[in-house]
Amino acid sequence: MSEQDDRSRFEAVYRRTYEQILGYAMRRCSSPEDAADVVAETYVIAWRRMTELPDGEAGKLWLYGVARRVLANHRRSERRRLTRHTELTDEIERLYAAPAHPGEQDGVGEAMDLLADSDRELLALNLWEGLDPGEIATVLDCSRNAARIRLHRARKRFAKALEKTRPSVAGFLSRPLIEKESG
Amino acid sequence: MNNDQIFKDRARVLDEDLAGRASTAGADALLAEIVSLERVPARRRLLPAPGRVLLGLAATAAVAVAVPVMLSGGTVSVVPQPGTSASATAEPTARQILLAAAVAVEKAPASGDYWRTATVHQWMLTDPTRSYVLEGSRSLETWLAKRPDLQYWRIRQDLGVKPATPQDEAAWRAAGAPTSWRYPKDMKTENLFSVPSRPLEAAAGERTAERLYGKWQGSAGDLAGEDMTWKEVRAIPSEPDKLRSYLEERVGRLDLAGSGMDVEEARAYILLRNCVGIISGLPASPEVRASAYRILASLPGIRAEGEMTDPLGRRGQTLSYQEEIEPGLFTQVQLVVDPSTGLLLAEVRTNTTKLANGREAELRLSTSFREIGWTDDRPELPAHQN
Repeated sequence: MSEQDDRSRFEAVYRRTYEQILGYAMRRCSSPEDAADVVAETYVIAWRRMTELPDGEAGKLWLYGVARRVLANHRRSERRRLTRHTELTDEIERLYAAPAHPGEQDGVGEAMDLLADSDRELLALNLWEGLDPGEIATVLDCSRNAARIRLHRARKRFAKALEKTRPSVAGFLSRPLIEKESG
Repeated sequence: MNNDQIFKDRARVLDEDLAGRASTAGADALLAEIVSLERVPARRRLLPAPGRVLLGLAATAAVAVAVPVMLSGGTVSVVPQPGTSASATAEPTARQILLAAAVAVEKAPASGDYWRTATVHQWMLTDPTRSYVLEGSRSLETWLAKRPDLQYWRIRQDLGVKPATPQDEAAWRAAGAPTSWRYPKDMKTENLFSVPSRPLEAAAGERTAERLYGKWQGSAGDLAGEDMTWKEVRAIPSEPDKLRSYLEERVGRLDLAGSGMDVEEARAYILLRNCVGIISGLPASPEVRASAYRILASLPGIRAEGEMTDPLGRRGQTLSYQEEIEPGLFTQVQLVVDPSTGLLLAEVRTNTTKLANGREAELRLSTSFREIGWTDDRPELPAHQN
């Protein structure tokens, strides 16, 4: 394959998958800089490993798999930057600053914190990225059945965690949050 | 509200926020940057027959450095090209530089009493307050005796620590021009340098010589960390394809699973480092060293960056490649080569860091080679010996 063919193919994959990988990175990183790094590094790896990048939908799942490993290895440090991606960081910063979606002191964040990383990842792939168990299996490189079971368990543990952090949901109605606070 | 919806609502951005993002200025800029990056080793790239490499080269040989051309019988000679050819502006490619170095190094002396390497190692780090960058230097000479009646020596000297650039010097003066720096143990360095455990001193140290015994007796240095005897070094094959098989066989014996790197890529990288190791320090024959250059010339991922001054102020041609230090973590390595002697002048790694005032500063790590080769000289031993 010629250099030019590689470029056109890469550009096509990039344009087709970019929004999803950007979304994935933003939803999983707490700072715009980190999210920009994850996006940039994921595509740098894709460029370097074009020969392994599958065509079509499978390519998207392959990229999620790469992004996931980049995220896992991610330690912020200047030296890892192969690209400058300053404009991208600025854009992501503006997206982060956009009006927040619901999520106040309702115990949901605490419940998510109670989950193991692996559970959070499964729920995120399913509910945030909209991947079904078969697709998750491809990203995580496990069997479809294993993905289904792990997702089911993650759901149950999330429900349990919610019960702990949001007693009212579990039926202990409207107990005052602050009891006998001395003035 | 069900739990799935609760989790979903926690997403920092929704897909609709992202619509159209694939064609923003940021997305375009990143794409342009990525496709300009060097692609990494395709798997199992075979060494082209030397003749083929050189034929390809001869066709594009209008460069200002001495370049090897193909002669009948597949041998190579140096033909200086006029500096004012039609394509005088064309920079030599990495392959041309390496092949020129291969030809030149073949002419180096093939024996002597001692195999001598003399290096200056330099490293940069910030001061403890991250206000400026300091550079430390150390010289090291290694004298490996070929003759059993001669002694092995290692001579070192700390050359001191000073502000790295004029800008750093100004900041250092503003800070009261200290000559000693004490670092907090838990200083954050982003792994770019190690925190000195003892106070760092500006003053140079004494030159000290150490006579090498024990495992050094009969040693001819090492290849990729494995000690080599003179006999083993003599047995290294000198034909490029045989040398490549020899190195690949050695690399193949390493257990690379669990290194976290892609095994094929790790092998390609170790092969490259083996070649650099042969060129920069192993007392192998000029032919073996020339073949190491030829293998390097055949590797993908090595790129010419033009002329550059090495950390000791010498001009040379620069080649660079990316090093994957751990999965997904890269640094750029520059090799400065003198194509007229075939000697490696320096190996330079450059990282950047942000100083306390927000200035982006370079942190350079380098080894400069002052001498690599055979000599009948004797080491100049300082009064102080260990």
